[in-house]
Amino acid sequence: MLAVLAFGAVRASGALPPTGAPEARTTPLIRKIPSTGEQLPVIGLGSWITFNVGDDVAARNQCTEVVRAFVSAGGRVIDSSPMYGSSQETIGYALGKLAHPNVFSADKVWTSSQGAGQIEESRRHWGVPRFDLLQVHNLLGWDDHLPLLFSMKKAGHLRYVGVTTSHGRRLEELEQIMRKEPLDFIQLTYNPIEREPEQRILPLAMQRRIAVIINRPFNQGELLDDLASHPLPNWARDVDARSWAQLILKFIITHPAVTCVIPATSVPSHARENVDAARGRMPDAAMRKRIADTIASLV
Amino acid sequence: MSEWWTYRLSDFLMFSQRTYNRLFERYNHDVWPLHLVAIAIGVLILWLARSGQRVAGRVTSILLAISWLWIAYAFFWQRFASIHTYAKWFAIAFALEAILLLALPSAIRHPPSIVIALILLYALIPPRHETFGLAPDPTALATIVLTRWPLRIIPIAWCAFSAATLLAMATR
Ligand SMILES: NC(=O)c1ccc[n+]([C@@H]2O[C@H](COP(=O)([O-])OP(=O)(O)OC[C@H]3O[C@@H](n4cnc5c(N)ncnc54)[C@H](OP(=O)(O)O)[C@@H]3O)[C@@H](O)[C@H]2O)c1
Repeated sequence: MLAVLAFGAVRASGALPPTGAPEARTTPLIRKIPSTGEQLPVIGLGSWITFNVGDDVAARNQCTEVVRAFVSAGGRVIDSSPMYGSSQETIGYALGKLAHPNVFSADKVWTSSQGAGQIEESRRHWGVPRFDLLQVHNLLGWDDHLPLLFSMKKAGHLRYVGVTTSHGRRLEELEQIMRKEPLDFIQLTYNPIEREPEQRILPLAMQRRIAVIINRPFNQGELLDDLASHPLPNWARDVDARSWAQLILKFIITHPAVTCVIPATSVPSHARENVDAARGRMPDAAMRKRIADTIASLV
Repeated sequence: MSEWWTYRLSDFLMFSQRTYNRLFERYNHDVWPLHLVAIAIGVLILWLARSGQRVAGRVTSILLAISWLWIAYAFFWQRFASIHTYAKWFAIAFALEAILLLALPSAIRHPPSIVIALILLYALIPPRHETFGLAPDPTALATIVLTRWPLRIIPIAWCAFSAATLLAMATR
């Protein structure tokens, strides 16, 4: 019920196209962070596995090309974590090489103790003066870390505070935290075959005015692997999707609660293709259902 | 953890196969021609196992200990640590095995030479060309066949971890 109401409210507010012929977008879709109204491009960039390349200069340069492609296509949000091996250092390397483009730095705290020390180390890896967003990774020690993050925000050392989960884990606990804490962001998994968040979490995020980052849009690539042997349906052209990846991203970003989705890639052309999913025509509610039903029947 | 059943092997893999292969490619490049020394050590161990000499066990345990210490430092501490959060713990475990090898030379046994020879041939397998004495997998395998309990515990644990990593990479 909450979900139905939320969808209706957003359609009325114009965030979703009305049912019928979708409009084409020439500029990439942007969404507002509810707590401040700041605008963000809806397609971001993840860094789990893809950017954990160690100190291999050739591989770091390849990742720099991914960031270059992402930023020049109009992307801004980059997500990482101290849990991702050398990914933070790779991002810092890329940002340095690209003369520090205007990205929205989203990192995490992932430790059962010593949050402040870990955050400072992460910041040094990124080479940024402060993080835009810090999230408690997988809700680990959230009751200890949130007071620290809120105090950093108050002191101006951080702009936004959030928590993350993934794979549909611990959604009940996430819901409780969303009800209790003044979060700016949550991050969780949502895609055409993992739709449980539509029931409670996404409507609640809209109600509580919490921005939503979506991780694992392709279930770490598995979804695309499973779809690879199936031709893209002709009707995907009606929403200007040129690939399964774009169709999935368009499905995700047109949920009204979603602020940003963060696919990871090691391929510059994939980064461009992903950002481009925020351009062109967008699916309406009927088309979203068609996308989800079709993909669910194929995988 | 109540949601443990939602985890899969691939959820614990934190690097891609390409990155893992590159790590070995660069390691092999950096340490060449130490491979020749490592293979010579392997051949010496093979010869000792056949010779049945009294000092064979002692010398084999020292040679294996040198290999384990080298891998702890040059592979885990210096290189694998750049892509794996817990690599330093693996380094410590490998150093501990080196100490155990030195402390328990009587736990050395002499398997059929063909088994050791096959492990030395591991280095020929592309793309990682993991060489006995330099890379953890063939060194752990050789140690399992060349020792008795309790010296087999750490090598078996490493082989289980490595098999899980290879399986996760293959099924991704
Ligand atoms: N608890 C948490 O906080 C949490 C948990 C999971 C994930 N995350 C975040 O969410 C991000 C995204 O999740 P994920 O990395 O697990 O998986 P994902 O984004 O669902 O999938 C990544 C895979 O998709 C492939 N891919 C991306 N764009 C593509 C395209 N246009 N065409 C074909 N293949 C494409 C990539 O391969 P190529 O390299 O070949 O492009 C990569 O292997 C993570 O990187 C991380 O930042 C957070």
